[in-house]
Amino acid sequence: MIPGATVNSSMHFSFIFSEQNGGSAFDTSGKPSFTSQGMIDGVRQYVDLLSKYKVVNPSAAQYSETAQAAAEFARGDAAMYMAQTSAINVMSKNGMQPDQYGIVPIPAPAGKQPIGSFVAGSNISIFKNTKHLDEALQFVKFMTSAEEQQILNKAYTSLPAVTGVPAAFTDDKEKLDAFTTILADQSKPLPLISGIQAFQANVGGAVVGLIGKAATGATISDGDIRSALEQAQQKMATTK
Amino acid sequence: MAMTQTGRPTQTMGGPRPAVSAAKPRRKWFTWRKSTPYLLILPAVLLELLIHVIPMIVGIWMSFIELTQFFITNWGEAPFSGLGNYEIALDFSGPLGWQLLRSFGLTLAFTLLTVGISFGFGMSAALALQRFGRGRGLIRTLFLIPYALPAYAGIITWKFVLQRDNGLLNELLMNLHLTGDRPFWLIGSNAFVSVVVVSIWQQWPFAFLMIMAGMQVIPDDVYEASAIDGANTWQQVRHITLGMMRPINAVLVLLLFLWTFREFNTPFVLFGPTPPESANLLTAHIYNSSFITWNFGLGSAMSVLLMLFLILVAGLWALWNRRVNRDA
Repeated sequence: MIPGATVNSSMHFSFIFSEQNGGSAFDTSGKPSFTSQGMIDGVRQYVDLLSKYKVVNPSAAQYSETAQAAAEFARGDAAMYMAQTSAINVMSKNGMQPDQYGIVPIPAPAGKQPIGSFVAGSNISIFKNTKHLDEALQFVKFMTSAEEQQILNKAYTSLPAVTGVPAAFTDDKEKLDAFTTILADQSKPLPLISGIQAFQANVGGAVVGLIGKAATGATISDGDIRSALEQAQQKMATTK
Repeated sequence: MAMTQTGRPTQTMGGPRPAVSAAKPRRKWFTWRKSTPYLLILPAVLLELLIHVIPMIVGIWMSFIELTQFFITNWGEAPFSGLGNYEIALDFSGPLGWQLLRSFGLTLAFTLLTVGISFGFGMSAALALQRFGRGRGLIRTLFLIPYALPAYAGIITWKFVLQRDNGLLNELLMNLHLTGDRPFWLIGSNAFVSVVVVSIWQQWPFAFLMIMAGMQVIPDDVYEASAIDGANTWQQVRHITLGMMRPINAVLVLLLFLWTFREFNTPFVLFGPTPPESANLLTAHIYNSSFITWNFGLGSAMSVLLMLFLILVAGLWALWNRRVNRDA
């Protein structure tokens, strides 16, 4: 189950699968390289789940929020669900407790890079022109302190952003270890560029469009994927 | 002023000041009588400036600068780009410009369909309800519910109804064996139909309300006179009802057009921030290609273009309306 019409999830999975295929969304100088073969193969791999291998219910193309996809899984209408740790929260609200499902890293097809996730999350920033620099720094120190990280990550069922704080988003040790291993061994960091929001909106939006087309029965050729990613890259140029 | 026989003029009209023979009477610059109307509308004017006019002017100013996420905290530092944003928006060879043009066409079709059908429904319902005796109040209330419902609540309900697998619409179609397999209503080409239907569902009660109010003004004896002259119902409707309601109908159609063209809630809630191609309405497209990437300058430029188009429409309507009023 995938949240097919959710822009940020589409970007996430495009990124993960393109890393599996050795591609990269941005080149070394930070310029977008969406039309690199790795990116195209990655998006192809994602869209094929629905269009070629038909392991995803085409209705997933309607889900514009991850909560809808999580609810499908929790109801038992899907056997697998690709998600983040925050899904643990959503599923327990939908009545599915952690002991009713298992967690594995997103697999890579044979011969591809074993990347199952990316490193990114909610950020905290201090504005350049702040009038209260000391107070802001103190607040950041507080939010990244071990104590507060434990509280926050328990509530949001997420992984701590600082070293030295053990993951504690669930009581099941196996699940904790699964995610910690994924973070340590099988993740690539999301590029630290200023246009990351535009990347998410443009690539995510392009992939949502492709999934929508695939769901209504159209076959998606490599050319379709390439032109969709090209348009996304052109749109990136308008936002500096 | 009456001249008496003694030759001295007497003032017949009462006035605030007595007639002075030599000096010209001083005019008071500020009188309560002259200022009261202006004072009464002053709060409304101030609020209108604050809530409508000033934000609009700021928005137009935003379209001339490159207001991106880097300058959000200090708008004054954003670089001036003149018509740069407009050039990007209107560059029809690039993906953004071409999609803008396509969105514009789609939105025009959407608006004409929605306004036409809403007006038709409103007129039919108002005509039908005129002859109704009992139960008129109840039916009127039922008809007005979609308009009174909070917009998001109604549209989210429609979103559930239009789901492919377990939505009410497909359940109905399946049970009545009307189609072979379940169609998609929220993606693909049917999405246009969905957004038109939901818009009509929201708008037609307003048309119904206005037309009903307008019909009350027409006196009954005009109908009676025409019946005596041998007019049948259709002729009565065409010449008397529509004829006498021309000014009201003109305003109604203009309002509906302007509101529907700017409609954002419906496509945004039904389809999320990335609507399918067939239902990529202008406001949703503007949001999707600019605000979602924090490029407020570009978004404002596209919004200003939208505003210019609507001003053009309103201007053309005003010209046409003057001719109508002269003829009527």
